[in-house]
Amino acid sequence: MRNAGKVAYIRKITHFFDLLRVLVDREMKLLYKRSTLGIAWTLISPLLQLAVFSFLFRSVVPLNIPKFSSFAFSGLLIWNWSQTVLFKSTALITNHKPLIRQPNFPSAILPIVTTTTGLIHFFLALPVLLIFLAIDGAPLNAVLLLLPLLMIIQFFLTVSFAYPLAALNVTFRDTQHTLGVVLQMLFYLTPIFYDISSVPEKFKIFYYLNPMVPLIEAYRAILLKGMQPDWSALLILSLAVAALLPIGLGIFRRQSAHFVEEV
Amino acid sequence: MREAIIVKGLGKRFNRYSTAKPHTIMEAALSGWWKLKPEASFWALRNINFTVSPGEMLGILGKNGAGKSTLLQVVGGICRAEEGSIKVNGRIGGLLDLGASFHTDLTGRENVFVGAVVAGLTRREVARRFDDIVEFAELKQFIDSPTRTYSTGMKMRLAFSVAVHTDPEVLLVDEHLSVGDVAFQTKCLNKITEFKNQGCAIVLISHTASQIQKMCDRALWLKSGEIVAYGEPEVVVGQYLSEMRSSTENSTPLRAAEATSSGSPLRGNQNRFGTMEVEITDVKVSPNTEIDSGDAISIEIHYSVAQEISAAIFAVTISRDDGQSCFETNTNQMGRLLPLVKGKGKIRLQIDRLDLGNGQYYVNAGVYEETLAYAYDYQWQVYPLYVRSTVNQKTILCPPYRWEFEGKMPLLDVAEPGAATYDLDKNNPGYAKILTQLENKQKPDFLIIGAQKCGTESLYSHLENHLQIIKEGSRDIHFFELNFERGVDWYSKQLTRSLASEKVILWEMTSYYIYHPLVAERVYKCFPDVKLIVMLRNPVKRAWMHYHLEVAGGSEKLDFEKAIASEPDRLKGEIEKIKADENYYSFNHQHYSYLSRGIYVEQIKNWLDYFPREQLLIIKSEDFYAHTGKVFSEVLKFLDISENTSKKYEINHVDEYSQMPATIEQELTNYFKPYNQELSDFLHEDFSWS
Repeated sequence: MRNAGKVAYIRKITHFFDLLRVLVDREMKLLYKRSTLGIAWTLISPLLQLAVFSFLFRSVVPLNIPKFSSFAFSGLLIWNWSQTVLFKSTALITNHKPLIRQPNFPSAILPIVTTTTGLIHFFLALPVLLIFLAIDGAPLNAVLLLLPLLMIIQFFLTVSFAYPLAALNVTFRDTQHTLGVVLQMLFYLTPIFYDISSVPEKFKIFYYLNPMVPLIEAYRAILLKGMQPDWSALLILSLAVAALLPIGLGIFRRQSAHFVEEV
Repeated sequence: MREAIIVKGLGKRFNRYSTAKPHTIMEAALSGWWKLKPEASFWALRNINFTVSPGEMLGILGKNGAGKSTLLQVVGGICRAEEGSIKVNGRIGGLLDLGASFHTDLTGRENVFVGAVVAGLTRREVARRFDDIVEFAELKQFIDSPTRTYSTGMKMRLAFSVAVHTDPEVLLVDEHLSVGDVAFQTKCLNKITEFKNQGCAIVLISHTASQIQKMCDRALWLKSGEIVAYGEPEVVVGQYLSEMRSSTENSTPLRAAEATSSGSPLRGNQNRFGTMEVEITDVKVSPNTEIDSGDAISIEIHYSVAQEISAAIFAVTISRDDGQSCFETNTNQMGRLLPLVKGKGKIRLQIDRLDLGNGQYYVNAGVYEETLAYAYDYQWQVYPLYVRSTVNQKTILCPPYRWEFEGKMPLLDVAEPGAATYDLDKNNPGYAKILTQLENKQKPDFLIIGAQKCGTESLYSHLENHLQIIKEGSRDIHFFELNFERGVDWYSKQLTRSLASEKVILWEMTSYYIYHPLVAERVYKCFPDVKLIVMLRNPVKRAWMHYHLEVAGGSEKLDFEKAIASEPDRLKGEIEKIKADENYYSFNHQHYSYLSRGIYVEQIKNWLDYFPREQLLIIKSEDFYAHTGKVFSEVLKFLDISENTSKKYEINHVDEYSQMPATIEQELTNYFKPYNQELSDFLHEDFSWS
């Protein structure tokens, strides 16, 4: 009997990952099905942004940040992953109405699917980032092996926020618009193309309330300086994620009972 | 056994919000969050209890908005119930929103994988079943095309195929299975039945009450979220339908009784129901309101339309006067909705044959709204129809039929006579002599061998009266043709024993003997000395009387003309079969031989092949009836019985028969003429019956 239970459990796990895989696969296919440039689009957008930033902050308003290309590009990639996922998650339930109307479809998997898709894009852009780093003469040493840890933290951080946003959009149809404005503001209030050291001390406290800040700092420590990240900041962040994730999932779960009625 | 679905006290509440409920974050921030609270709530489902066992199919009935789909969603775990408990044991498969989860930009193959994994299979399991899925959907050559190129039917087929290949243990089926063409629909229904037989529990929603009645083991009728009835499909469906009818009745506007062409006045809510948007002004039943079973009729509905109607359905039912519906059809069944323009119109239903049993019926006509939800006008038991049928028993149907019997005829149910005891006067001087004869005599002295309907019964009665019957035997023993294997011992016990003076006489009468091809030889072999009496009537009359006998017995459904016309077909090969197989019984030969039995000459010749002419007495029935005394004396003389005890006898009542149509009579007279002539020539006596 215990054996049968174990088999059933393994099957359940297998099915979860299979489901994640087909849904990610589906999302990827849908993104590039009708575009000739295909996957290259994921790179073109940050590269264009990078070109604008390089022009602005090297020639127009010089910021004097060393290795600026690598600096700004890393920030952009990290930010874009979370921003895209959050933005998409607001429309998840409305866009996947037929799926959530299937008996026993675990709709909680949808934010995970979107976050995973973002992660894949992040991976695909990594080689380009490494080229920038190489050109800029970044150390590229063994601390790079810590990157997956940061990605895991970012993954769950993003999912924690994606859950309540997905749920909120069911009640308020303008969540996506509102979120667009909020994300735009956060983009500028996050040290993506500038260094946190140039932020006046009295405002820094607000910056550390932004969970993306310690995350980006940690990424840059590893990528640009070849140094270990600020472990205490990461620990606090991890604990925060560990607290936020159940809350987000809880909100989503509570709301999910009404998805079918509302959409 | 573990139930597959157990629903206890289920309640599903929906919230109703104020129209001022904010739809955006901005509005909510400005107008205040309290407006987000629901203003009111209502129960979409309440107090729902049912169980479904594995292998059982539950049908859910109800009007739109009764909560059927919500119930299915709650059982499927798509939305949550506020009250009660739902327990589903086993994997749920759904035939809900078929094909909706397919993304049009993906290929069939990609969608199959997504759909099947979503339904609960692992990728490996899908890969294993992939070919079966595609084959069942009949989409092999299109499977790698984007589903946007598929027709709706193709999409539905693929979705259905995916759903049924996920091994559901509980299957939820929404609405009608309008999947693809009829052949595929049948395939789907078969598949669902197959699942059921394999022990899958099924919940089916349907508008079509008849589908639920046909397929389901139980039915549940929902009305405004509550169970009205739950139980045997026949009962629940019946209740549902009668309520549907009465809700139509309630919406019938009241108006004064109107006269109709049939004479019965129309009274709102009694025999007329509907909203009167379309009115049935008359229903004409032609050719007549009294028909014979099997006749064609046409029913013409005259209607008038006040306002143009985009689609309507006409329906006709024929019901017995106790309300039992015998036939029902509507124009929707021919797959067409009829748009009606303002003004008057006619629609005719042509029924090629109406095989109803004898009795009073009504033609009911109705015109309905396009979903059959309510009637515009329905007139019930207003237009009578009387059906005449030769079958008098209480029966609804009276199709053309006949009995055909092949193989061995079961033994006729003749009581085995007990030990011979004779109630004789012992003081009679000849007592001892008579007793000796009774104990020793086994052979019949004479037989009346036919022909059928030629007065043999009458002669039999005369003989019974004239002779002193010691022991009455069985009538129509049918020994030589149908009971021959019972043996001569059995036969002699059946014979009538009678006494003339002191002479014991054994005899019987079976009028089929003369006509049956094997009897003459058999009689000769058993009793070569037996005397034979034959009575012959005008074969035209005989045929007519024979026909009425079969009609009365229920064997004949055709009219006389058709019956004699089909005789060659009915008798084809029968005589050969009788001759080839001693045990063969031919129903047709015995019953449908109206003309053939009248060709006496062949039969007489056959008998005279075995017996000398003196052993055969041939009587014309007409003579017997005209000069009974004289002819009967001849019979007695032939039998060597003294006429002393002869009394005057009255002629037995002869059944009154209706007159045969003159044309047929002439035809038959001509038909028999050569045979009668041949008989006259053969016997040197006039048998021309002219």
